[in-house]
Amino acid sequence: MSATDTAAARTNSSPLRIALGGLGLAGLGALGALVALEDIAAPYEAGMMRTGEALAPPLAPHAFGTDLLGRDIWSETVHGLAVTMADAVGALPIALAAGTFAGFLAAHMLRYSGPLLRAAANALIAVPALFLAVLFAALLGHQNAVVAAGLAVAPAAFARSYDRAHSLLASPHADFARATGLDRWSLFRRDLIFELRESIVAVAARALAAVVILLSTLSFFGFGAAPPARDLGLMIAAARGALPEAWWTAGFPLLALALFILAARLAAGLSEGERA
Amino acid sequence: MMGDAPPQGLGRYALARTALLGANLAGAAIFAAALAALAVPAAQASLIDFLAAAIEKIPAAVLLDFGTSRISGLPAMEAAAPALQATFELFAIGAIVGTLLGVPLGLALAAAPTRRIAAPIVQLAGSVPLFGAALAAGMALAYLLPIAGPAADTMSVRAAFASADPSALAATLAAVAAPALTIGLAGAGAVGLALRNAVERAGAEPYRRGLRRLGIPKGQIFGLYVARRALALLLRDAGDIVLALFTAAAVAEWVSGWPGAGAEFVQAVALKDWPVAGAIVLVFAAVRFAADFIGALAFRLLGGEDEPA
Repeated sequence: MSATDTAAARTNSSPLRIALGGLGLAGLGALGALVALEDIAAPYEAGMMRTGEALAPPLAPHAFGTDLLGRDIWSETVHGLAVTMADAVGALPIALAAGTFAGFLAAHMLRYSGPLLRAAANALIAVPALFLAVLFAALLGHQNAVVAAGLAVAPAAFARSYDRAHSLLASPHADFARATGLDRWSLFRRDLIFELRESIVAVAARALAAVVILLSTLSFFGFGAAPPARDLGLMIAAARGALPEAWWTAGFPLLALALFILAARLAAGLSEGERA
Repeated sequence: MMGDAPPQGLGRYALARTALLGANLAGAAIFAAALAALAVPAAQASLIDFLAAAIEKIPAAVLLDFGTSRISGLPAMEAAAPALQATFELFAIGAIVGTLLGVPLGLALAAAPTRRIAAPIVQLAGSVPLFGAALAAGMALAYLLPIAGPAADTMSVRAAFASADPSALAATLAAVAAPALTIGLAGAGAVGLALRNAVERAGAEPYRRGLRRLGIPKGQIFGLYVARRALALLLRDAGDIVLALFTAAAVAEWVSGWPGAGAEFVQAVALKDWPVAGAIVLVFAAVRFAADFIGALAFRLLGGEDEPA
């Protein structure tokens, strides 16, 4: 049994983990609701300048302060969170399809080319996912950073899913199914339905955490979101110059980003410190 | 899991791991060759042309020849060498800090009471993206240390020590402090987590209860059996720790302006200097695979019997 399986087993069995998973889902729901009510929650439009004094500290009427251009940090954080969340939701199906589903399919259906694909995934996993994301973003264009982040997460998800499917195929239930004449396609379908029912939320939440980290880092590096659609990574990058005098310009967007990632991690049942 | 399959002899195991290392390195070389092939004008025409160019590049990539850098005009490996050296210096500092902080952290986190208290903090800290941690480290050091902008010729810690010039050394150490701290913290996190998991797994194994029933004191069981097993499991995760350090290096270099290979890779990709990007990818992948290989052998030598992940 792999460490991932052990973690998954622990996730399913521990009441604390179940509670934390629920907390993570509730957190994602709360952030989703905030983003859905973006126009009400944020008193100023995205990018609106001179809403107050430049670099005003976090005090009323600007509870999160203002940045160098007098933009309200609370409003900008809500808008930035909306962009980050929309991009992450866009990247998620790519990561799941090219990673999780493809890995499961390859292990079940591709007897000869499956191991080659697994070896290719292994070569890609040896490179930091951030490098892959930068590479894909450069090849596909910055406007496709969402696709780049999804594809960069895919090799690790492919490998995990392939290994999981492989262990299932070597288990007694698969032997029994084959002995009773069940064909590969039917076994694949049944295993997939079982896995979806058991762990799709955890798998999707883990991929979500990974794409959020990559997307925000890509934007921070200048390979992702471009103004006027500023996501949290770009907001933090833009605030770097003012950081020594005005911590709040980057601090609150960073806190929002960390909360988003934390909620996804908890929903995925990742133990503390475990990589998304 | 332990005991699921009959143990393989060390010689055969080493042979199998060597074959795996070779296959992994071949895969990385193909990937790096594909990157380098992007610089071939003919490869832009169609996918078939690109694949043909990539295949043509493979033999040269195996010999670490990726073509010439578009920016410097030097052979790619030569162009990337100073940045790689800068990264490995950071990496070494990060590994030392990571081990010094990570081992006590991992042991503390493995103890049940500490773990319960620290779990929410570690979970929250693990949710902060690396660039956030790098910014925080830079800010903290800016308050604590008088950081001066380094001169261009002081960007190698080794060279600064060799120069015996106190001002160059001070400037270099000041410049390296923030990225080294970021990598050190990332390393401490990776080592600490791996060690905590290892101690937890080793401590939960059934032989421990048997030894307790034989009257062997807890401390002796830990020292003689659990620590050894935990070290084996920690070494098995060496590749993952190396990957975490490289990722942290890339982010820390970008944030602090340290001219290492991570920042060089990002710059090379932005400027479409594909040969240099290919060279850096191959070196990083090779180091990770080497760490996996050495970790797996060490794991086996220390008595580990399960198949390394």
